Amino acid sequence: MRWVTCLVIFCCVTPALAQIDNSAIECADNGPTFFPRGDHWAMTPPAASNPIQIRHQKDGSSQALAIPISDLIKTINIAHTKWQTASCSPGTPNLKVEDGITSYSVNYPTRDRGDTYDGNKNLISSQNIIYFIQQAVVGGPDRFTVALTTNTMYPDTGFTITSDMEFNDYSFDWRAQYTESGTLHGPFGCSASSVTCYDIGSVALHEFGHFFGLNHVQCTDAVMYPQAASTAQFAGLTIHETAGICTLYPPRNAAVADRDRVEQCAQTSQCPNGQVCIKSGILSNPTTSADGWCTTPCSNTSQCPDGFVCGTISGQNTPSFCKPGVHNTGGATTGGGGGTGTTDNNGQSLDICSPCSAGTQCANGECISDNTGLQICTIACLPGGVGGGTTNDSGCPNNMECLGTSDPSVNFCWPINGDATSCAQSTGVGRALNELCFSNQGTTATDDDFFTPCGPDLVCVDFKPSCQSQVGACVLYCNQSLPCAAPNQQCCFGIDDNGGCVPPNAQSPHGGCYTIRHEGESCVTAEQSVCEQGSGCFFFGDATTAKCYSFCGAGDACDSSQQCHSYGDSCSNVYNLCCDKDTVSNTQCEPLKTVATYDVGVRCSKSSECNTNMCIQYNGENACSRICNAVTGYGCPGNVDVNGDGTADGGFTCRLIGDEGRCWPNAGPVAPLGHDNQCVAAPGGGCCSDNKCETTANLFYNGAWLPLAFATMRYRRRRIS
Amino acid sequence: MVYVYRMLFLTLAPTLVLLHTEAAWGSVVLAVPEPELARAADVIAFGQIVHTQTEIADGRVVTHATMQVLDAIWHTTVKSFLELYVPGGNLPNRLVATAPGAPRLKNGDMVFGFFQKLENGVVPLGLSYGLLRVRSTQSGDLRVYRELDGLQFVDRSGNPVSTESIKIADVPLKEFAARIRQHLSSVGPVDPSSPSTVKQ
Repeated sequence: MRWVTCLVIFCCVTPALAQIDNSAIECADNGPTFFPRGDHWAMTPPAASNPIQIRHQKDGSSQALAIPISDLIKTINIAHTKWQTASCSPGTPNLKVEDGITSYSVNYPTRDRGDTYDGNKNLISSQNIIYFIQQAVVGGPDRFTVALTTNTMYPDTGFTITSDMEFNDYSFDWRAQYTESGTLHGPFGCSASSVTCYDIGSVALHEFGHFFGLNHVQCTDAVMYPQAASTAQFAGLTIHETAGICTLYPPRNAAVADRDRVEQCAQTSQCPNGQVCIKSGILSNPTTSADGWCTTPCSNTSQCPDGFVCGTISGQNTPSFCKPGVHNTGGATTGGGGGTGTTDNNGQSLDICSPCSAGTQCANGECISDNTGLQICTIACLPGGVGGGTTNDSGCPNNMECLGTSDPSVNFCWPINGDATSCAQSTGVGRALNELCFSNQGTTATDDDFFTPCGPDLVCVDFKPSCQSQVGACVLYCNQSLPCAAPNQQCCFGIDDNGGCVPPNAQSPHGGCYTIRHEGESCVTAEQSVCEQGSGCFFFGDATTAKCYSFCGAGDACDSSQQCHSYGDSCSNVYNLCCDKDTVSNTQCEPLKTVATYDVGVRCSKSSECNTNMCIQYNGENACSRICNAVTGYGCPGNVDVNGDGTADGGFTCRLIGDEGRCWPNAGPVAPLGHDNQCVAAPGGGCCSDNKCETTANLFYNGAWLPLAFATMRYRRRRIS
Repeated sequence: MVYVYRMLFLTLAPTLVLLHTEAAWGSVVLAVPEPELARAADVIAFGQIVHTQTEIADGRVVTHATMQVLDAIWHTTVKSFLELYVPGGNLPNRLVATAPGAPRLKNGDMVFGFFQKLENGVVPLGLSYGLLRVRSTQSGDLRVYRELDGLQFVDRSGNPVSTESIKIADVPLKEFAARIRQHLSSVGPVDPSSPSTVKQ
């Protein structure tokens, strides 16, 4: 059995990362239930002098709403005040929120979002905005979204930087009422009896629960119950929210001189004895940076207070520490969910094999890597199986096996042979590079075309329509700001009527990566199907022998060793091609042999021999290679003929070689054409040797790879005529 | 550490299954009957995310995803690209902006979207409510499901809507697309700009 070398930073701590878990937890039979989501604010003492300041968008909230601005602000302030003044017996949560207008008479002249970024998207300054949005904008509430809260945080520590709350004021109406000093104010705004009239106080009270880091619970009496009516009026927090806010923000110990538990810190010396100042650790000066908070080091969750679990920071050499999480929080005290809605009816993860960098991206929380650099979402399994010891009983999908890790008691489903491409295909993530993704047979019959997704990093691009059909294939995605990774590839924004590369243009901002081929070079695979200007891709009978031929006639002369000959395709199109004088006939034409460099997978001795300018060594052998995505496994040619001998050479695997993904031939490097002196059977009959094959004389133009691609077709879309 | 991990996983795993039908979160979205959702959308398409990048739009962190249309249902064309925006995204220095209920998109994701058209692109109606996920089974069949995470559903009167009533789980894509087309056909002619529905 091959063992997955499970990197500690992912395998062993991922489930306890401060991930944003969007589930709700079951309600306890009795007593409070709350759900710490993992993110939280860290107060700087004294909180009264360093409150979390929110900013009401003054003009935004007063324009369309028939609610006086002061009453609207009070309604919202009452909502967060209910959280801050919860009775923690004794004391109140170590939490302080104030709004700028009421507390500081701050005048906000514009309706900006409050947060500013530099050109590199680094957050420069932030404000916590309460915003009644009056038109649809990118990133704001769409016309179906009533309210939206966006938190910005360090997910590994849960340290919240800023949070913005937006109410949709262009699709919905709002009302407000509140009680102050025993006097009921309002109602203001729309009528409670009318449709689309939403209660601001109720929505805000619920939203502030999320603002402070709490998630939903399935207690029907709770403010954090996900199905509460937005038109209802909450009187206040229930036992559930009170327990939650008091646990996440425990009342401050007045005896602590500097920083108390869960308070902000810059260094551990500020924290109470036995606690550490935990930070995301990515700032330039980690000693003095202020994004830390005091917490307890731990080795397991039982050492953490209620409402906190033991976790650590991926990729950081930091101690494990207690962070907000589901631990003695009422219902489902041992669980907390995760990936809700991303499991199928059997509870199986839907994103197995998806590339990941952290467990938060995976339905089941497991982002696992092996020693080749493959890093994907997967699921745990039983190596012996539940029914008698076969892999199929282990709970793994097809094309995956149950492998052990460095901990013999932990096993995960892993793609057989570590082939990420196979893994992706086994779960139907999409077609691989060079595979067919679109076909239109050019007929009027129904069910005659199909369009199927490509794998990650790929895009489906049409090729020049042949006389018989229009087809598209998966190639690497690119655009004007995202050039092709391989130095020998060019971003084409479409294929023109001559099969040429379309340059960037305003109408087609998205493109695919192609290796522009020269006369005599193979143009079989999709990404190699574009020939240089003045030439085209043709084959005689056997599509796997397609090469680039120079056009001739009308002033375009051939090389002295060639002659110009006319050929017709099955659609009566006529092409004048430059052919080798020695072999030319009405059914045969060989282009000029100008192949000077090798394709990926061919044996090499130096980089200049490769058309990718990349000759690498692996397992003691040299081969031309190219960059690929070691995480997704995508980016390598499929099972294609790499040396032009007319036979497929076994395909490639994207391997982590050095520090980057590199394509390596599954069957090892292939000898350059003519170096092996073997005569192999040609697919169309006859015998191939030294790049000359005798085949039948059918000429097709640009679509040479079509028969190969059709062999993998599996999804046909029915047309409605 | 490994022991801790194991215990966590073993205790979390049963909960994953138990809870997957009832999740929701803070973003409040309008949930309407499927025909109404279809008719309210400016653009409807099944497609694939081919590129994503985080952008700052008017001070908001958004994920700008380029979606290639694989099946055009309404007001778009097959093989064209939609510029799709959803709240939240990854920022430098590991900062992450998250909006509950907003779909997190990555390259290769397949989605079936009911979109609102904006000046510079489209946004899904109701965040994940209007941007359904599509997965491929091992046999290659495409199936549609709706993520309910992070959302609180209300009707037009603000009354709660049961997540059970709007749940879509593992519906064959062909069946779902046909159903949506049927909803649209009842209100007017087939969209002429959609070549997948009308043979040219």
